[in-house]
Formats: sequence, C-alpha cells, structure tokens
Amino acid sequence: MLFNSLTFLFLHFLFLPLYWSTKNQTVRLYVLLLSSVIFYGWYYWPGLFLLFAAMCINYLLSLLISKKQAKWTIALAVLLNLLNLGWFKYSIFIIANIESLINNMGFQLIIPKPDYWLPIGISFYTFQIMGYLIDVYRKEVPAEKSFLRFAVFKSFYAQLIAGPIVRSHELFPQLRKTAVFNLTRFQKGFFLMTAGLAIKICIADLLAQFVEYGFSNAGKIETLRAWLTLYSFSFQILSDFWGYSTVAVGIGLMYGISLPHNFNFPYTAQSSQDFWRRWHITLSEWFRDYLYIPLGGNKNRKYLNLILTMTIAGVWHGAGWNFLLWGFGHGIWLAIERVTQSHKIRNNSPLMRRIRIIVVFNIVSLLWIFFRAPDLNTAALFFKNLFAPPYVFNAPHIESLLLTLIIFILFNKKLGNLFYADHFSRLSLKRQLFVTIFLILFIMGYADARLDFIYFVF
Amino acid sequence: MYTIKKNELLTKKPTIMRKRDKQKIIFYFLGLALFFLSLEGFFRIFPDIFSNLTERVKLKSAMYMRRKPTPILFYGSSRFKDGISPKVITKRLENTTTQQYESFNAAITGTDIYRLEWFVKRVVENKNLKIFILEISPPMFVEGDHGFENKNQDTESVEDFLSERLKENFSIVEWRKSLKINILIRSAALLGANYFEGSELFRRGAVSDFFKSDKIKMTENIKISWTPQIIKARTNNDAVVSKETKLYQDISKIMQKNRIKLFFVIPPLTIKKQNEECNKSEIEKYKNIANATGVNIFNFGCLDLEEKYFIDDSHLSHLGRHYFSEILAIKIAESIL
Repeated sequence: MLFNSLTFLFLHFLFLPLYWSTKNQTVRLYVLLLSSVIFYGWYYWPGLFLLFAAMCINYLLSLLISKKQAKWTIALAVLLNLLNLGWFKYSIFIIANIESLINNMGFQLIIPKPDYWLPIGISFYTFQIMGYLIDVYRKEVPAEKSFLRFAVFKSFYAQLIAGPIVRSHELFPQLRKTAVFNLTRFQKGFFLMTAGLAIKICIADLLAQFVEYGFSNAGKIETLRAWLTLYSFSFQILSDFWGYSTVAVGIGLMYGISLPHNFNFPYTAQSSQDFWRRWHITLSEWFRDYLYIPLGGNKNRKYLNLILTMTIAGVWHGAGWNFLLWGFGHGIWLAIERVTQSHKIRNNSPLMRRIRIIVVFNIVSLLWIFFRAPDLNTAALFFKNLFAPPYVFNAPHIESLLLTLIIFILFNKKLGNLFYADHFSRLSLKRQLFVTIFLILFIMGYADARLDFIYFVF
Repeated sequence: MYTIKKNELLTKKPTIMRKRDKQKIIFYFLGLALFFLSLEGFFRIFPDIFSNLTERVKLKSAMYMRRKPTPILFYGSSRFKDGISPKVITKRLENTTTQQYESFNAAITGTDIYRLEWFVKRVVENKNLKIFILEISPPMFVEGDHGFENKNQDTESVEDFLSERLKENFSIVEWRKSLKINILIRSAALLGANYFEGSELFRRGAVSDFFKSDKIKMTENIKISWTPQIIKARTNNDAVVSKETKLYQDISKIMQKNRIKLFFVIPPLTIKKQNEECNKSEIEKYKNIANATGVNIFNFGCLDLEEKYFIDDSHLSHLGRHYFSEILAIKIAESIL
C-alpha cells in the first residue's frame, strides 16, 4: 500500500484510534502488527510469507547469537540474510551477466532464470535486521525475548518499505514502554504526514513527468532540456524520498513513536562527505557502522574502504551496472576528497560556501544520471545531450518545469525547517493553520498523477 | 548552514503540556475542520463555478458566453490554440470590412469528439454567434472519455471505490481540481472574459504576441505560400459514414438551423508531419466530411511551409500564427463581403 493512496489514509486513521483506545501495550502491539501486515500484504500478499519466514528465522537467530556469542552464529545470520536478499534481488542480474560473459566467449549457454517477484522493501528490512543481529552479537543491545515486539520492530509499517532504517536501540525501548498520548506529538505527526505527502505529490510527481520525458528521449533532447531534466531529477528524488521519510516520521509520531529523520538539506552540502551525512542519513550510518568501520575505517586502506563501501551501497539500491557505477563514482569522489583534503573547509566565506554548494550539487546531479538511467547506454546518451554539440538552448514547453523547480527551491528551506525540532509547534496558531491548509489544498488539487515512490522498489 | 541535531526527536522527552498549549492544538484541529467545512459549503452553493473552472472546455464556453457580442468563434485542439490569434483576425477584418468583428479562440489542448459535441451544443445558445470555424485534424477525432462531466466510472479497486464514495459525498473532493494554482489564472480569465480573446493565458508565447504582432508584415510571396488548398464538398450520398463524419454532419445541421456560417480548417503541419497526416487515407477522410456536410474544407495541412513557422511538427510559432490568422481573416472577410 502506498502512503499517497486513499486506502492507506483510510486504514491509518482507522487503526490510530484503535491503538490509542487501549492502555494495554500488548494489545497496542497487536494493532501495530495487524495494521503492518495489512499494509504490506495489500501490495502483494504472497510477500507476507517471506516477511513472516524472515521474522521467525531472525528471531531464532538473535536468541542463538545472544546465547552462544560465537562468531559462527553471526556469520550464519548475516549469510542467511544476504542469501535471501541476493536470491530475490540479484540472482537474475548475476545469471544474466554470467550468461552474457559465456556467450561472448563463443559458447552457447542459456541458464533458466527463476520466475519470482522482487519483495518490496526487502533491502530495507534485511539491513535493519542485520544491524540488529550485529548489535546483539556486539552486546550493544540485548536480544528481544518477545516475538510480538520483535515482529513489530521488523514490520512497523511506517518504516517497513523504504525506511528510515531504524536501529534496534532506537525502536525497542519505545515498543516496551506504554506511550502516553501527547497532543503536541500527535499534531506534529499530523503536520509531518501532510507536509511529506505534499512534497511527494506536488513536487516529486510533477517533476517526474518531465524527468520521464527527458530520459525516455535521451539522445534526442536539446541541451537546455537535458540540464533541466537532470536538475529536475535531483529535486524529484530528493522530494520523493524526503517526502516518504517525512510521512514515515509523522506516522510514527502519531503513534507516539519517534523515528529518525533521514534528510538534512542534502543539497546544501559542501563536500561529498557532508552530502552523505545529510542524504539518507540512516543508510549512511548503517554502512559506516556495519561495513566501513569493520573493513578498517580510516585506519587501514581507507581509500579502498571508501570505494568498496560506496560501491556496495550503490548495488544495495538495485541490481544493475548503473547502480554499481553510481556507488563507485561516489566512492572515488570521497577518496579524492580525502587525498586532497578538500572535505576540510578552510575558507568559510559566504562566497566560497556558495561555490562549494553549487559544485557539490552539480557533481551529485551528474552522478544521478547512472541512478536514473535504465541502462548504461541511456546514461551515455544523456551525458552526450549535456555536453556534446549542438548546443540548443530554446527547448519548448519548459515554463512549468522551471516554475516548479523555482517554487521548490524557494520553499524547501522554509518548509524543511518546519520538519525539525519544535519549529512547527512554535508557530502562531494562525501560521500553523495557514501552512497546513495550504499543504492540504495542494495535495487535494494535485493528487491526480499518483506515482510510486522511487525507493519503493529497493 | 541548516543542520539538525541527530535524532533529536528521540532524545527529547515530551514535556508536560500547559493548558494554553493544549488549547492551541485543539483550536488548530477545530480550525482545520471549520475551514474545510466552510469550503465544502461554498463548493455546494456554487458548483457551477467550480465545474467551469475545472474543465477547459467548460471554461472556454463559459468565457465565451460571458463576453460582449462576439460573432466569430474558433474551436479546435492545441494546434488551433497555438495557431489562432483573435487579435490579428479582428484587426485584419476591421481593415478589410471597416466593421468591428470580435473573435474568440475557444480551442483547447486535449479536445476530443465528446468535448466538441458538448461545446457546440452550449455555444449555439449564444445568439451573437455568426461564424464558427472548426478545426479538422486527427486530434479532433480522438474518442476521449466522458469523465469530465463526472459521470460515475466503474469501480475496480478499493482505491476507486473510496474515491467514488468521497466524490459522491463531498463537493470539495468532486471539484478538487479547482484547488490547483492555475485556478487563479482561470478565475481571472473567466471574470475578465471580455478582455481576453481566449488564448492569452493558456498559450505559450502570449507575451511576444502582445508586443510583436503589430510589427509583422505579410508580403505577397508569403501570402501565396500560405494560400490553402480547398477540399471541395461534392453533393453525393456515397460518403462513408464514420463516427467523426456523423458528428461533423450533426454540427453542420445545428449550425444551419441556427444560421451560423461554418468553416472547416485543417491547420498547417511541417513537411515531416505531413507524411502521417497528409496522405491519401487522411485526405479521403476529410473528403468524406466535406461531402457529408456540404462544407468546403480549407486545407493548410499539406502546404510547403518553412520550419521557422513551427515550434514543433504540428504547432505554429509566433510568426506562423500571425500568418495563419491573417489568411483565415482574409477567407472570413471574403465570405462576409
């Protein structure tokens, strides 16, 4: 079920009073579990079997790890989870590449490919649970004894499909204690949900139409349109994922559960390192804590570790050479920054700061091409549109695209500020009402072209 | 720079609420409820306004009906919307006939057979309408849907079911498209219908049209290159009756009944596009319409025109629009005189 669907809103506001109508935490957890099961199964119900199997196996594994504290237990747990992820997400890609390699060597080989679906959110919930198992092994958190609580931790619908990747030490304590209904949090949650939906529907979905045209006509579009398509995608993916994460945080708060924010104005980053501290924060932290540091972090082979971590992060997003290249590109950029020490800001004058922001934004945008293009050929064609002659700067039909981009750039800082801390609560009643009404009217007016969230498939 | 503290929502404990804060939040939710209830009431009291504002064809017809007497009316697809300048036509007619002939461009993007039928039935009620110029081109033959009149559609999923029930019970949902930003522009256009010629606010290049159109002069050579071919109507009964032919036949009868002069016009195309639309089968289709209706068709669609007159394969540029409008004005003037 999508956050931007009527069905979701209907069920969410049905389960919410059910949840708060009881003070019994066990009943509340059952409500959360039931709503999560409906939420996940609505999209493709057989996916529930895999989710349930993963729940049971990981629950038992966590108890085993806690009891034995042996390396083989954590190795087994990580291996099983990676196999699960690998089978469902990467097997077709791997088989296709092996087949192509062998065929290129002159042999004729057709390997039968498994016929199955990609379970939505598998990368997110696998990483969340792997993080938990590693934490249990490291004795950073105790293994959860209650299966019900464990099941809610793994499946809470606010964060199940596209994050944020919530750490066990953040969520379990909140699931253990009986939350008291807090009107401020509820209001904040309601506002965040509204604002997240507005960003998704009014910005991401509008930009998506231009981006789709640009990438499906790569090789044919004019220079100006290519650059606008590129910037549009940069803002589309930000508003799409930022919108989703904001809705998730809002839903959590309406249940009295705090989830971490995933974005912190990433396009104001002044270096690649800064960008990854602001973009998809929970994933970046996951890779830092569970991959980069165990690989040796800054101590041994730090450049190689950076490139390897980012390449794996790229592949985490999708099974394809384009994702691998995207991650590799970011890895190389991070490594170059470390070599040249350019991530350390020496001149912090406003002018230099702005120049750095523009440079970083443009590099990030150019790397997004690999992320958005369906294949490497399209990516190459798109690069050609951007940089190769003839340079045509009078692309037709761009007024509304420009307008949308300008409006978003103008308002995203003001709107974004309201998401954090108590900014919204501190507004006067009139302003609170004005902002909320404005956003709801926007959602209602523009809710036509309902598109899936980009991160839905990861 | 903008920064947030890490997971501050997690670390911050909810404070005990003061009575004033509690009241503020309660007023917040009450305020929201009150606002949307009032809006719902407003939508229920004035459904026609929102109906006209949410659908392009209804808006254009409402604008036309509100205008001062306007005897010349254009209807068509985006090709006409971009291609017709009522300002140029009115001016040219004034020079040729020494009389003031107001004209209005009601063409819309994404028109179809159903919208055309709807539009014609509405506008013939305007007794001032004397000349109706209708586009003929493949976009005009699109079947389209009946959805714009908010007829119930089949509900296949829970999502559709919920959406339909909400539409049925809440006018604010039914007319929610009127909450888009462009509704401000549409409202202005409707209220100021007398000052607009139908295309300014809905067409790109409107600003250049406003400032530049007086400076363009048409030479004899240009006039020759823009002279349309004419598909003559032959009165025979062997015309193939397709859905679109029948519709144009009906329109022709309605116009005759109301003593409105009818013109059919095929708008200009680039040579590249002519391969698709200026071929034997398409021309045969147009001939059928001419024969079935008894109305000649001005065919600009097969002219050998330069690329500079177009912004893409089927839409005219500022310059192209000017010449196209001038030639049409000459043809209209000939029929008036």
